[in-house]
Amino acid sequence: MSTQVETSKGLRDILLFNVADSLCGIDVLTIQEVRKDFEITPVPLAPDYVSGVMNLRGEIATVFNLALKLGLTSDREMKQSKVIVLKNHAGEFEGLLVDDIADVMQIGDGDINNSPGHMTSIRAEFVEGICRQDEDLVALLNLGAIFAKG
Amino acid sequence: MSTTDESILKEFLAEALDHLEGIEDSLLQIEADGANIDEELVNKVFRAVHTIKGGAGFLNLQKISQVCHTQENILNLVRNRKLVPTNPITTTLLITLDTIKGLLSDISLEATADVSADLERLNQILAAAEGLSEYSPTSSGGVSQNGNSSADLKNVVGSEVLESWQRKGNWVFQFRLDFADPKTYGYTNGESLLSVLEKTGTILACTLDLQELRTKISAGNSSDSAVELLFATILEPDLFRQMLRLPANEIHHVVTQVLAGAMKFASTPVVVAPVVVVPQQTVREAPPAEVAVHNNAEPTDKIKVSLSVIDNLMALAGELVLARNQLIQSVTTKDLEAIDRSARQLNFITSELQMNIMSTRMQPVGNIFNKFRRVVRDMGQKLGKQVQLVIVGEEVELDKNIIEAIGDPLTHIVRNSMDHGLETVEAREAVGKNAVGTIQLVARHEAGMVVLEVSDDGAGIDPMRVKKKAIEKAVITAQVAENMTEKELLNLVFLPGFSTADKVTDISGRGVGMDVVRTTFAKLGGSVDISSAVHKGTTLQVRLPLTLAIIPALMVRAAEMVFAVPQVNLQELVRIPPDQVKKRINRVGDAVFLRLRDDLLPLLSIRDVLKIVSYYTDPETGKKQVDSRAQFWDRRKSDSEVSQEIRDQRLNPGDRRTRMSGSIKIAVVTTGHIRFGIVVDGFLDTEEVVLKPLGSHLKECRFYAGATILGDGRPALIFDISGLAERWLNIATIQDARESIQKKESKNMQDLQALIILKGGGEQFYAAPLGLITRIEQVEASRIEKVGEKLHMQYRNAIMPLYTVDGVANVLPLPEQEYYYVVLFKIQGKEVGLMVSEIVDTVETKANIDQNAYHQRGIMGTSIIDNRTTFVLDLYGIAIGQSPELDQKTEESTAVLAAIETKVLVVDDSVFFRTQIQKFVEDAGFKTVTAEDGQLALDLLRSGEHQISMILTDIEMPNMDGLEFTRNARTLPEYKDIPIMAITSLMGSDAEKRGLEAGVNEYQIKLDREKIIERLRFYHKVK
Repeated sequence: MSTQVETSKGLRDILLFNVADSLCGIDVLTIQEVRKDFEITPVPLAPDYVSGVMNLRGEIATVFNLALKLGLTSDREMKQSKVIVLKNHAGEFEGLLVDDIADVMQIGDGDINNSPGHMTSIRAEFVEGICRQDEDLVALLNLGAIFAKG
Repeated sequence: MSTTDESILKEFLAEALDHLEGIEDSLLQIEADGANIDEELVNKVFRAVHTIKGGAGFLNLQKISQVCHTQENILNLVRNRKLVPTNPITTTLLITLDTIKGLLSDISLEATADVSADLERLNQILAAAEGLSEYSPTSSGGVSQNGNSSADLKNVVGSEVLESWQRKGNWVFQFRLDFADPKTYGYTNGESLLSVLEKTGTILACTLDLQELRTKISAGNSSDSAVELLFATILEPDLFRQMLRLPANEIHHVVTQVLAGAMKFASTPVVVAPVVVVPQQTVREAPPAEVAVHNNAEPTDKIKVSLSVIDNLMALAGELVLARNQLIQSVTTKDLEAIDRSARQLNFITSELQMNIMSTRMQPVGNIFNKFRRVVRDMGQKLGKQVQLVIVGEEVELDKNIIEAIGDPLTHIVRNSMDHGLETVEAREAVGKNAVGTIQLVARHEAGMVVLEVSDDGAGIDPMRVKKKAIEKAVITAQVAENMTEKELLNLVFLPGFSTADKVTDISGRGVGMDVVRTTFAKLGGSVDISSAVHKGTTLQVRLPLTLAIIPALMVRAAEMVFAVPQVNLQELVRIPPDQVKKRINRVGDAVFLRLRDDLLPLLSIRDVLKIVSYYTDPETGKKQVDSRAQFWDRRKSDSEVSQEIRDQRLNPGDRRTRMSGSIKIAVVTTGHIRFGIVVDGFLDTEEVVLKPLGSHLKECRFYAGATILGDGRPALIFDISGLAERWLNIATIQDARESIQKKESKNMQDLQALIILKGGGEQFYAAPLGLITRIEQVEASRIEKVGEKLHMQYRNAIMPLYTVDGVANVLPLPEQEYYYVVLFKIQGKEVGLMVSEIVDTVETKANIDQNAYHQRGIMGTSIIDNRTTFVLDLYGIAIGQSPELDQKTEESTAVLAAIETKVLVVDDSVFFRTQIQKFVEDAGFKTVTAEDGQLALDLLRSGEHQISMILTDIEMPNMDGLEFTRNARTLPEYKDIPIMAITSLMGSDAEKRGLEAGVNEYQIKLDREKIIERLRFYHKVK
């Protein structure tokens, strides 16, 4: 029995990661790289959701505190051990500070459900949709909203 | 289109645009030359147009080709001096060039474009000009058999035939050839001359029968071989001319080659002088196209670099390879010294490489300045104003990016100048100005920046109008506006939503305000400033950094964070030792200032404004604690107490919290307009840092110019000094605070006495008024001679008496020393000396002289100076004490003085001086009355209670100072001539001048008893 690899449209690879007790996912194609070795230099008087900047092979990348941006808190101390680096349309590097990387999962359009808002503790505007991985709910993030100014 | 075609097209476009750039400038020059035609220049333009036409023809860009062709014709007439390029003609040429430019920039529109209007205008010029052609028939033969008269040639051929030749793309020329002399035309014999004609075209008509001509030629018959020919050819005039070596005026264009459009026939040849043609204005004059001034019609991705720069780069690349090899080698052998050498080598080469590569991007600013000639010309025409453009410093170079970016804002500024700044001819002449206004574009280097200036000699900007407008538009409140200086008011024009133009014209008011101008320049790392004088003109000054990306910077530390301060803003570094803090750092409300030489600089503490929290490890618990130190300027103790503490601590280092926080480190920076200081925790190295932009989420933080990566890989933020100033320095508050400090200061300046501090026996400190001292000498003990109880020494061929303090007062005698110091002063015109053991210092101090504590002859009182008890000396008393014969009083004068009833008024706010002066004045026999300040003195005068014969007044006094008092006193009728002597601590010509202007008779030093008494006696006419 062969696993049919559907290369037709609709299938996406999603990177799953943990942010403050929640499991989130973003499309792998948006990701530049994932860093586990990094040092964040804080930027005084920057907006609070900006953790600081880091050196990305000579370029300056702005690092966002994803937990803060999504409005998530945790009882335990957050690990915040990885930065997912993305490149925006202006060519700037932006990083999401997350706790840990979980997995890569392939989903089809049909697997995505609209989020009724209360299913996750994440603010609704940042969630594009919900899908499942085994028993867990994965919140697919709306990157546009996350990186919007303000 | 295939890719080859595409690339050919691209090449053509780039080249054509290049040519066009050069043409515009040349055309303006040609226009300026007027009838004084520079053939070479016209040829240059002609060739350029010709090249464009050729390329366009090759690529089947017909419209462009047509327009170029007609332009060529006009240019041809110009260079043959048949046409003078007047203003209308040049305008037409420029407009049609714009059309071509437009077509080139969007080549897809070319095929469908309608260029008929342009062609018509150009042809109008040609028609008017060619109505009078250049042909002059020479003494040709008359009618020969079977031949035709010259005038008939055309008619013989017939217009239909001519037309058909024209449609086939031919020229038809009429000219004269003498086959008898073929060498004139460059041919060895008649046959070759004829053959070349037949090969290159068709002889349409001839004044001699062709067959006959041929016969004649072959027979070598040279008689009567001069003919007029009508000749059709596709060769263009200049080529044709060259072929026959005929001068232009001997070839008559019967038919000009036209690819499309109306055909033009010349009328009967007539001899004329070159004409000035005015094309009919039947077509409505279209307004000159709004030319946005760009460096290129579209920014091409190519750049021209001089070969020498490339050569340099090649050489450096070679050196780089060598250095790299050396480095690899030395790393393998682990030879530390060699590694060090290689590293240094690499460092040097890298810098050179960087500089050279940057210079490839540098372009002369003239590239963009010269564009404005067209703008000024066109706008001048449209607005009916006469303006000349002067360009200075066009060779100054800027990075290509910057040059491209400044085009728009500069255009806006120049347009503003033309529109609102410069007046019409009538208006200018009415105020006596030259009818022609001037706009000056200047570029120059200044301290690592490039300065661009746009100045006009127009109407200027009235700061009051600006203020009114600003208040109207609620940009600022009336209250704030009141306190603004003229400069600050002018700078209001940069605020968004501001425009003083009463009507927004389409030339300058298109939503591009001065605020956009300012932000554009700010984005490039620069700044813009405006200055103006009503009726005189306005100048806008722009400062830009030379390069965008790499800047030298001073690294500084605030708590544990490292920041970069751009060198270009940095003026100096100041370190305030702990014991000077209170003196040099003043605080008013929230504003803190540094006293730096003559200036009061506002201070910003990086830690405070950025709210950086610093931690330290608690020595006991080992935990990180927040360091909440007091503000850096807050010192509850006085400076002197601090000094004492420091001295103590050197013996007893205490724990961290109670230890002094050390000196204050300040970097003095400037934005070009404001100078202020940044307080940091430490200065680190200067480095060249690569400026990396911060992401858009951090753009709000305008006080960061960007970030850089340090040598250890960590990012460090780079300050934007203008941004810092903008965010945290409030000009109004600073001004207020500064003023209040200065006011306090001037009050404190009162009664500062200049004293010299001396040391005598038993480590006792003395002070004497500096103004009375003429000289100080160091004298060997052996030179001092004692006669009886008196001391003296040989000095300058005279015997000078010497005194000591212990000679008159109850103090310890001087110790035995090898050398003594003699302080010289004058008594009755004679120089005498006071001996002391040491000269300590000179000070300016508020004289808090306590008279009561230690009052003796020779000592006026005591004072605490620099924490020491110091006896203030009465030099006169010391001298008199040891040489009573010097006392001035004589029997006579005492009697005379006793008879005088009038009093001397002594005005001084210091109790000490009042009593001292009163004392010696009374000692001298005069009667006195005193007053504490000018107001009280004035009241006293007015009351008439005392008869005052003379006034001695201090200057610095509260309520009413001495000068004001003098002025007021002089207005009283009975006192208008009274002698007034101003007494001061130190003479200064400036103060004296003001005093004399106020009505003071003379100035004397306060404690110069002798002089004062002398003058008193003089005024009272006492001997």
